[in-house]
Amino acid sequence: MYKEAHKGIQSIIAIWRKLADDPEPSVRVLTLAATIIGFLALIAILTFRFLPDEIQVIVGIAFMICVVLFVAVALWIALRFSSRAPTKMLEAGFANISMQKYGST
Amino acid sequence: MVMDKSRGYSSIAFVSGKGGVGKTTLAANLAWLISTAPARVLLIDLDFQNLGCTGLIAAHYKLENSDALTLLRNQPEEKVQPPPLTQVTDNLQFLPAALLVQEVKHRDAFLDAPEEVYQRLDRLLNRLHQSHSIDCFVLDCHGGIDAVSIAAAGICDHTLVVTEADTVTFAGTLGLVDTYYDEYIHSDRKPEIQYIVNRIPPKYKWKDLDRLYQAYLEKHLGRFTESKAILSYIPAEGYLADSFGDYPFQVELGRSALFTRKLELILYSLLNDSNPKLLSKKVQERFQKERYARKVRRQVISNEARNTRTASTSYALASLYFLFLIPLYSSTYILHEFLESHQHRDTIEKTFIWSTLILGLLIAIYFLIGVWRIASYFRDKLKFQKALFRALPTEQTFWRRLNLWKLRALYYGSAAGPVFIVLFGFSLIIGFVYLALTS
Repeated sequence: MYKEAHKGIQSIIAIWRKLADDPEPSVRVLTLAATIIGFLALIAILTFRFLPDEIQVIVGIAFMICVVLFVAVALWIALRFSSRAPTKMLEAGFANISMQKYGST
Repeated sequence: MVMDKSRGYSSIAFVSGKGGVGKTTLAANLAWLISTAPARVLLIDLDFQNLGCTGLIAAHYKLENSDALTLLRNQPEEKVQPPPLTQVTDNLQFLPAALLVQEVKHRDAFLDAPEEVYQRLDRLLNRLHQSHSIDCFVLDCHGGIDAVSIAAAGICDHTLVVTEADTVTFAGTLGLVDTYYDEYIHSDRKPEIQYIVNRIPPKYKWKDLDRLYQAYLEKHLGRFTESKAILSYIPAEGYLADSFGDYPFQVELGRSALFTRKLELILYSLLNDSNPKLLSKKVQERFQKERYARKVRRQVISNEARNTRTASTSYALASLYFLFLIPLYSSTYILHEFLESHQHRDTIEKTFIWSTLILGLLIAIYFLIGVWRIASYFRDKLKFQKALFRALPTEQTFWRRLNLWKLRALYYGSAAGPVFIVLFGFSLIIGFVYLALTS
């Protein structure tokens, strides 16, 4: 159980690092924004019960908007990354040819 | 390249590391575009093995009794009568590789010596320029490495290497560039090589593809490319594939098609500084706007592929949303129970419902765009087929007419769909408002 959890956390961190190191600036910015929002959401969930009623309403509304935004952004990133896959395959093919022809990619 | 400016003409050669990459289509259409500048253009087929361009033109125009192979072989003197050229349009002429009645039985020895071909081809171009006042030569070479492709690169102002975004063509392109490197590295005349990545499948994105090619231009491909950038990425277009061979000049049929814009941009990039006389005023005005030029340069998906993709994706997203509604209403119920004692329960619930409704509205708008794209798909197809119908008066058969009527019906039918959806939506809203007001 512990090992599986550890593996899961490691894979999440690996995905996060991949996004944070992406060559495209828009993906890096979105990753940073998602991380900050994620931390705020975590704090909000943990402290929700202890907040005054009015603040609870504001936090609740903000949280729902964040969920909608998160779905949209996740969809966008998924589409962007899946569309990059064919170029990655082409890149690997080019690199193999180049390596065999010139001894370097 | 050490350019001989005194020649008084421009020359563009189309070469490739392997055959079947679309050189002939690109060469014929580029020549047609230059001829509309207006400028006198001669399209020369130099593929002595396949006679590709010769077959394309001969299917629609009667060839005159002269060919590139005979002219290169015999090297006519200045005093001899100028060779007759096949008149395609007022400003566009054509010289076939060999006449179709003659069979190329043996291979001339000079065709295997690049230096010999260089001398002969250079003399031939100068002679044709003088005798027929040619402003620009467009040479369609053999698909693969041969002495003619090597010589043409040394002679022409611009050598356009046509390649495709696949590994098979990439290996051939590297081979061709290596041959150029071996041939010209110690020569005074350096070729000016530019790359066209042709027939790009819709799966690729410009950014990713350009990043990949940029890396190889820095290392192996860009040895004779000053700009270290790909000249043009041309997406695969269904109508080009469908009409291949039906008519040689697709740019004439699809004046506003992406393929036409791409070729115009190629011409603008090549000739705007060196010989703007070969550019029409429209092309100059169009691509002086940097923003527009960038937009055309970066589009690697054809309108047809974009239309079909949006139509199918919007349908899939709308279906997903309806599936998403089931857990959504379940969670609303759970939320209702959870917030039972909360004084702001109504506000939170309303926000929850409104945010999903807004998401639904966005998907509905996208779905509407998708439906409209189906109409755009049939509209473009109909426009092209109508232009082809007009360009080929001898082909106006009953079945072609019937095909046009079918496309017309599909276009108007699909265009009516989104209009009815919008009208239906409006009538629903009006109905709800009326009911709310009366009750």
